Amino acid sequence: MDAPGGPAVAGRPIRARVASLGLAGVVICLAAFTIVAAYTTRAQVDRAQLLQALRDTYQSVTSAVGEEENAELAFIVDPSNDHSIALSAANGVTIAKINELTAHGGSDAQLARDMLALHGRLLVSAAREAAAIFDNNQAQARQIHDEQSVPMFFEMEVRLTTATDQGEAEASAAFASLRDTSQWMLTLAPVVFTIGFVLLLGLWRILEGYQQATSRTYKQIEQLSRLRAEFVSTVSHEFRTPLTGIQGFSEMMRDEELSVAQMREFAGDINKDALRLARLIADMLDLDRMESGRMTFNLEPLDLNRILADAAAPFRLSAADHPIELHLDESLPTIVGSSDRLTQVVTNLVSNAIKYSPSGGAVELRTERDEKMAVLTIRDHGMGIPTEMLETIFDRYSRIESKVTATIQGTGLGLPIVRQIVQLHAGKVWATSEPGQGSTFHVRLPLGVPAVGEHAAALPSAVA
Amino acid sequence: MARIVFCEDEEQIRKLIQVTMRSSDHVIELMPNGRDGLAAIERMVPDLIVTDVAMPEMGGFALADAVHARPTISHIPILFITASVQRGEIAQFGAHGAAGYLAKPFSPRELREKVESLIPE
Repeated sequence: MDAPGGPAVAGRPIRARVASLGLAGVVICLAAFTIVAAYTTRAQVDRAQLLQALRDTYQSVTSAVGEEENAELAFIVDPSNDHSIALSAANGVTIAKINELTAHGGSDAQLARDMLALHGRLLVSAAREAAAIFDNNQAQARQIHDEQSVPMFFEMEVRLTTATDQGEAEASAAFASLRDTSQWMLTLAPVVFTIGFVLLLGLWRILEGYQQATSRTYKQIEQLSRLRAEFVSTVSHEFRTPLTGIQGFSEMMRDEELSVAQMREFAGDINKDALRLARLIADMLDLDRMESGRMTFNLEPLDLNRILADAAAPFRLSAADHPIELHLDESLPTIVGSSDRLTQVVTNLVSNAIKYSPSGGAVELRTERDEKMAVLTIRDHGMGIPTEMLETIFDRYSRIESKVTATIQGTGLGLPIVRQIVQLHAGKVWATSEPGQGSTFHVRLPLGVPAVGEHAAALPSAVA
Repeated sequence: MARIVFCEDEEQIRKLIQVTMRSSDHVIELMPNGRDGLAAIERMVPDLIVTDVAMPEMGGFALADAVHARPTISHIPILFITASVQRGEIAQFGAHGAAGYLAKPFSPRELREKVESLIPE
């Protein structure tokens, strides 16, 4: 028996490996996409936040410079103590703010240095203004302020405005690229993840399929190996029993002083066991050929009634205790089948009917028509078949074991052969029984040409 | 002279045993299954039991267990005859208190020797 799908197994490991690698690849790609997207977004957000912070610093420096200019003007107009203190404070704030720029480094550090230089010069001009005010020369102080301080304030403001505008542009660009990134992520992510999940699901299903196929194959191998072990054990048992007789009786004939009558008796025993072995081998080969579809049948139109009558005739002589009653439907049309094999079916069933009715009793053989089927029934009045065994009696070596059947010889292959032959004729066979009252075997065979069914392939139409 | 009960379901082998043992002076009883064998053993209390393993009604192992469970006959040595000598079964012989085993096909001489070796003095 071949394991179903056996040859396909060879291609599996490679394809399964490809599917596993594919699965791993898809997972890695999805993870890489997620990491790149998250990293890009993070970097762009950081940059935008930095630029935002710079812009705030520029603005605070600008406003500090403006405050200082106002404080200086207020001090010139009214050189009170309060205005002097306010001017000093404004000075300090401006320097502190410029120093904050230094912390940003790069071009901002350069800007801060320039600003501090300008502010230093501004402080010098502010000192001159203060000196003029202390001399009560208001007009001169105003002139110094207008001609020296104001242009310096202006230059500082221009520098700051330029830097602010530049920062503003950079921040806008950063936000624009962040928006672009979000945009493509929103568009691409659903597509990428949908494709990814479809691939994952598909590959997963493929692997699951392989896994199931593998476990099915293992189960089949396990079952085959168990069947093989059972077969070897049964066959060994079936062969050893007749061999024991052959070996034992022949050794006695060789080693002991026997009369001619005893010699003949033992030779008969050996012959009986040899025939049993031969029948066992023939049955096993027949069954094997039928099960594997290698048996060829000579198909011809047949009169089932005639087969029944011919097959039953020898039993009338050999089993006188079992009268054979024929109830034949003479109007039964012909069937197409193998004469030899259908004779074997009837012989096996009648032989069983006689064997399993040790106390005698009639064996009834009946044919009748049921629409497009010919029905053959063989009924005995023997020990019957336990209900739980009605189906298993058709399995190999399954014999009913009891005190009565122990003395009945059989290969355990008769009924499996009957079922195979009937099935190869597109028919059906089954048993019904009332234990203690006898058994009935029913055979249904199609009239005319057997229907083209699952067994048709095993029924070569050519006459060999 | 010893008394021996044989249990064997195959008619041909029962006949072989009978023919083999008739040259000895032992009293033998041949039974077709374990259940009838047990009845004969309890009645005769033989010196040796020889039994097939696979038999209908009561197999050899069940017979051995039944014999060991009955104090009046539990001392009788048991020789198993088997048609399937596989590793698992040999281990089972020990578990069922076998004194020995004989594998089919066996020769009449082997059967006689085995039986003689197991009959108590």
